[in-house]
Amino acid sequence: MFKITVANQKGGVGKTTSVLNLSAALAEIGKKVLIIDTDAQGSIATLLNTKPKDTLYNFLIEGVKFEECVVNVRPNIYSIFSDKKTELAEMHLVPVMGRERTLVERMEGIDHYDICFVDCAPSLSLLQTNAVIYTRYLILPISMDSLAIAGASHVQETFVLLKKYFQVIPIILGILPTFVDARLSISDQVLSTIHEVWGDTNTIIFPSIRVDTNLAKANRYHKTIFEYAPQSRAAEDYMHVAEILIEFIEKNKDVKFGGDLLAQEEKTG
Amino acid sequence: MPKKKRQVETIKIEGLSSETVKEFEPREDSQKDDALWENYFKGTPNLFKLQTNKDKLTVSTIENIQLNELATLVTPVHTGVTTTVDSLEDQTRGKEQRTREEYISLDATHTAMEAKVYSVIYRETVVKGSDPQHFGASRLMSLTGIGSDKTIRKAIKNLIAKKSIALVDPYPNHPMGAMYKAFPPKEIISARKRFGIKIHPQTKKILSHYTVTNINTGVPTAVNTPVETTVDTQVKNTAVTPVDNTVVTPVKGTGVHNTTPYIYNNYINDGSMKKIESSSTSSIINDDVDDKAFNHRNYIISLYERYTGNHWRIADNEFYENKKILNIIPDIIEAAIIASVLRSKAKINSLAYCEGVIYEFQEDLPSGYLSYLRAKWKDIKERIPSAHEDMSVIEERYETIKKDIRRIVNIVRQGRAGMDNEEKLKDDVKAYCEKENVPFDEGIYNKIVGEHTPNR
Repeated sequence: MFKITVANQKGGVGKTTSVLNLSAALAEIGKKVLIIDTDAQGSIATLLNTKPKDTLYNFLIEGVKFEECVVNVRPNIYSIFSDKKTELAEMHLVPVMGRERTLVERMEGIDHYDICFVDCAPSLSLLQTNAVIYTRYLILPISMDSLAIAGASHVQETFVLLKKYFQVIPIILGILPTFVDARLSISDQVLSTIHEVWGDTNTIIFPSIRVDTNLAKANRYHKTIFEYAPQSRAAEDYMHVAEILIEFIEKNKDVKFGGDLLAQEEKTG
Repeated sequence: MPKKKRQVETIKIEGLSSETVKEFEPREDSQKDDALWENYFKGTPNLFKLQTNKDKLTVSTIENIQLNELATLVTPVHTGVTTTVDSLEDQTRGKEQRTREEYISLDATHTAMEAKVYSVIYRETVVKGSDPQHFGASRLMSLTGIGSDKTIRKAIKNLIAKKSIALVDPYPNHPMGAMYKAFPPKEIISARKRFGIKIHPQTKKILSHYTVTNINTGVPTAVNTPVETTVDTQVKNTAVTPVDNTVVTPVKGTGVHNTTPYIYNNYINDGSMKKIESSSTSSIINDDVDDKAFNHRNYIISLYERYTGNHWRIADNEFYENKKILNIIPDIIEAAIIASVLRSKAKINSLAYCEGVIYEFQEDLPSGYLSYLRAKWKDIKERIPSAHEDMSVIEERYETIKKDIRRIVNIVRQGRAGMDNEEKLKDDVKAYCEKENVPFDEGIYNKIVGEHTPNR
């Protein structure tokens, strides 16, 4: 199972929307996807209009079995949801020795999915550390806003701490530019910054997700973009990203990390 | 003339540059990092977490213990053979590695809850100079973050059985609880070897037989007995003995058990276990297991049909397969079925209804509770024989009576044309029913008469 955390300290950059729609795209390709929502806002459950009985809190703290917490939300898409109680999970985890690896412990032996996405809250939380330690890989959605770049830098600061205290190095797998509006100069500026910072690295710069009202409408009607508007440009963009992700996973299945990465031109779209 | 490319202004963020992000890019030569990652985050307690003063003490104490152990290994005799001596740094790294490996092997034998309780007791005892400490249930709850005292007690019981901790003194009336001592991983592993304790890597239950009776967890329990039996049972030797230890005894669905085991016999030291547990769609099961599974299934079917009066349906079979009921010992399922039958106000229509109770009893099946349930069920069945009668039979009987009464009402009405009096009609129908040996039911009669006179 290939595990990826989707995080950015800035809120509203499209983390949850990206997780949901990327999962939908991968599910369409035929991959079995697991979504773990660690955000106490419970956005995934809201977007899918689901009221789960057992959530991440029950799974992490009360020891409820994985099978009882996971919900099959769509064909090939499974999810462990969050709710307000997730905040309590952090409080409960604080006095626990080895609290950073609680998610790793609880997810031990669960690998019958192709890809696992962990959706994070926009904060420097214990659950985010748990998520990064569990997945090691990270995708950073960056919206066309200077604060989103700052949010990405905060994530990197967390990584520096992880490296310092745990002596392990998480990997930024890719940058996902979101809300890209070619008409606005700020989009140009943010994209240029992304290329300036990550352009010379092996980190993938995914094709931009163009601004599309269909995304908001799909959320409003509790559907994925592929259910609501499969012909929309957002659906096209997410499918493109999913294909690149699959290609990366397939190419690096044996090498584990790094290896023959995609050409820059392909990455930038 | 070629169009000049427009210069785009970029956003500068302190600490974020192509140099700083290079550290976290996917790399080809990351084998060393990968190995570290695997080592640290695959079932080992985190030794490199952000250190508090307490933790620093913990680490230094562990190191001291190890240095002492190493010191005893040094031989003063000159052998004449020149050996390469590792530098101090290498030695320290080696020690860390060994400690980590010990933790990995120890942690693999604890459940998540046990690991939490062990780590807290270990941390607290080592920090206080390896002296045993008092640990009440509430203190352990707050230290571990576990919200249930029952879970704490269960974890302690298992940890004692696994020789990870020891009850130094139960102190029954001490306000701070009983006194425990946690042992370092090395001691635990050697103690387990000494006692011949083997722990299943997946279920974390003790597999081997070793006779330990009456493990006193030291944590006083507020509840004496979950159920008080009011039924005077004639059976002197109960089928289930108290669950005071975690000894696992292989049990087949014979109905008579010496202990309450946690693992069903089929899977003890059985290579097929992984196959079955790892995938719900596994089809590669050897014949031996097939036979056992078949026996288990047959026994469960007989239990289910006996206690509920239902037939085994496809849905029950699916539940049996999907929820891996095969792994659960028949005693637990029997107790769960009886308890569900007794607790339910309506009739149970599927085995899935017992799911919650099965899990409840998997956690803890109080001693003698199964005997109590059997007696209670027998008692109720004798007193109200129709209480567990199949609903379909009742419904069938109801429909027959209804049909007969409807027929009689029609006959009586036909003979009374023009003089329909309600009271008289009822008396006549009653008399006719008596004559034809049809039981008169007032409810059915009123319903039939109501159907015929809609304007009333």
